[in-house]
Amino acid sequence: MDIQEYFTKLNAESQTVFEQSISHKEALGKLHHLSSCIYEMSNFLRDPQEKRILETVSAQLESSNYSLIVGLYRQAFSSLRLALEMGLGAIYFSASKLEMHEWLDGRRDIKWSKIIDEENGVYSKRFVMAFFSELVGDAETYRGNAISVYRKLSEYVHGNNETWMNGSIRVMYKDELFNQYCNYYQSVTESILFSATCRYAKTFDDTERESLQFLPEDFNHIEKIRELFGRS
Amino acid sequence: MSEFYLRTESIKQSDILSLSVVNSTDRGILEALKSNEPCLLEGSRGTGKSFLMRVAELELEEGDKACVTVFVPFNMSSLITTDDNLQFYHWMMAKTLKYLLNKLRKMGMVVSGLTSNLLSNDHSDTEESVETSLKEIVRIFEDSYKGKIAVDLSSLPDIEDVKEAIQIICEENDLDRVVFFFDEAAHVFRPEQQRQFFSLFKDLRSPYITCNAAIYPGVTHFGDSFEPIHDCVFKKLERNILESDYLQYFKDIVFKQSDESLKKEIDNQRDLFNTLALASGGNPRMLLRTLQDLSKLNTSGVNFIIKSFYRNQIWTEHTDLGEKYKGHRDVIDWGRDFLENSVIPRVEDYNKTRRDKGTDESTIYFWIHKDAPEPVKESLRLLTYTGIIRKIDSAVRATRSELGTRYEIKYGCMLSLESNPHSDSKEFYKNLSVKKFPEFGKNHASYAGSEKLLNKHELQYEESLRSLLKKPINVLVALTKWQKERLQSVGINTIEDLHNNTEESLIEKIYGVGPSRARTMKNAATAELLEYISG
Repeated sequence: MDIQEYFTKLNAESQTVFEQSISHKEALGKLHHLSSCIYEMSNFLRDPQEKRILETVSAQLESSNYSLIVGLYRQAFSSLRLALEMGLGAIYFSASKLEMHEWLDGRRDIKWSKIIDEENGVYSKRFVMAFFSELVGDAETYRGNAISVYRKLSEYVHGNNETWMNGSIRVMYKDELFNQYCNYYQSVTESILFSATCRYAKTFDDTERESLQFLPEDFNHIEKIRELFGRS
Repeated sequence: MSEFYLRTESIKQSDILSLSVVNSTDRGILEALKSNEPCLLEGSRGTGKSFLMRVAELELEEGDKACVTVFVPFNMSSLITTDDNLQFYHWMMAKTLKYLLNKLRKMGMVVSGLTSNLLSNDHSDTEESVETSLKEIVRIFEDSYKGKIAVDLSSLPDIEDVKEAIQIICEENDLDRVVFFFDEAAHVFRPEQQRQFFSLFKDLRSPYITCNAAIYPGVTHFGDSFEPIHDCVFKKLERNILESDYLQYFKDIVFKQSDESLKKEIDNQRDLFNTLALASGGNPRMLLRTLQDLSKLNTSGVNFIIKSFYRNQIWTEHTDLGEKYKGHRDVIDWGRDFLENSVIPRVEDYNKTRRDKGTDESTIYFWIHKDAPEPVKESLRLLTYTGIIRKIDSAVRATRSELGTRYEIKYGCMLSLESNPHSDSKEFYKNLSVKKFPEFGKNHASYAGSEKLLNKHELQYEESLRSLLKKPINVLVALTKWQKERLQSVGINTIEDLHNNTEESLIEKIYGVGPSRARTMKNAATAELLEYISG
């Protein structure tokens, strides 16, 4: 077997995983819907840089999904974590232009601990108060969710004991990992959408809010979001 | 006490089924909502219309994989203040189709524009696929109402294009049909928009589409092309406090949201709980609210909450409606005065007389003559919207075989007038009889003041009102040819002329017109003006 033959075989195995994954039409539809929501929201951001980053986040999420369906689970999880960092990072830096430019220039890193900081992070009282004060009460729950899903995803990146077993490098379809990914994905996109709603929803005008009808649909249970979008 | 979900919207979709309580009436409604026939569900605020529609949606999703359910909440929006009816129709259409596209996306049947970011050779935008045609339809409609570009109306897709697109989506994805659930449909009081909604509702009829909608009892403007009896299954969501399973049903609803200690407390104080359940008059939201606001489940707590809620809060909510729908404010305020100062005291008197006589009869019902002045009827309609009264039946014969409509006053509102609501409730409830009711005839003295509700000096003279007043009386469909001729013979040619005449002056001026015809003639003009101020 030469090197080309070897990769051809891997590709064939990957295709088998692909066939199995793709049969979960509805689950994949949901994943795509959620990344599309982030994409649609990015279309309404006024700042071109913030818009571009959020758009990249949605593409990043889609590419994680692709890794998932070809059976590259570890890559899928780690790519999902990157999307979470980028999404929340963009929102964090949107409130501090200097840092955003440094970040985009490569002179500053995204620090997860700063993004999620209790006092000054994207879910902090200070931050939410400034952009959508009525959501202060809900933000803590989302902060908890974001921290928790980030931790779980990190296990795949750093590769602790358990994940060595779950994501062994052999390319084959694993139902359990597929489902776990879908759950984490839901948390990641919800964390980003909630934070983006806190940060941007009030800057949209009525017509723009009108076009974002998925937001009150997905966050229907949060009264203040519902009200802002015109439902009593 | 405990916190409850007071609105369906606050409940996560995944928790709906675990909180649902379904009795046989509800089951009948659910089956109608799930069937191929379009269904209208009528109920006042807080009776659980949205909840039942959600349950129907979930049951369909669970049981019928070949069916796509789409929940469409028509929320208040600046866009629906448009005066252009066609624009409003397009707005509804665009919203509806967008919800459909979202749902199809969630089910993996269509993809979003995001895909072009990843695919290096994407030609899907130029492809002749159904999803792009449906997206295109939405875009054109949106542009037409957002006013971004001047749109040639004849270039807009028509309803047949929409139905065809939906049919193709169904065929390509092995789907039987798309079921729309319109929530809070036609909740705004603008009659013309209500008509537009029902015309969309009817237009969307196809073998591949079923429409269902929740509406309020105040909604009466179905338009010429829509007849609720023929064009859909019409269901009312009402829970009669006299039904045998009433108390158990409401206990089950509360228990679904209660922890163990609250359940135990309710079981120990079942009578007190029953009083609260009856007071709500079949309205789960009111029961949950009064329970939530209750400091302790004991007699004084229950008496206090019944008095404060059903004497004050419920009325405040009704009056607040006037803030929301300013055109109706005077009618809303008059209706409150009429009920509080005339109807309720009369019902109270009626009960007192019977109690003094030692008769085992009590009532929470009253009757209004079918030819009562239009503003009186309108104010009662608005009271059914809040649920303070409930229309039981129409064409009921009363004294001298006159016909009229029978209403029920919310049990809690009557009970709250007693000094000890809880202890009086048992006897009062036991003696309730729907056959006993005080009557308000055609010209009851308490209608005084209702005629001034449409005093033209108080109406703003806008261009459209002016043109309405100038319309010839020929446009009034409620009048017969003979009646119109008689009016014209004495120089009453426009709606304004008719409005300026009192019933008495009509009787005086026109030979052959007595009190009954004079009322019909006045009501026709009044109804037209009411419709205007509704906007």
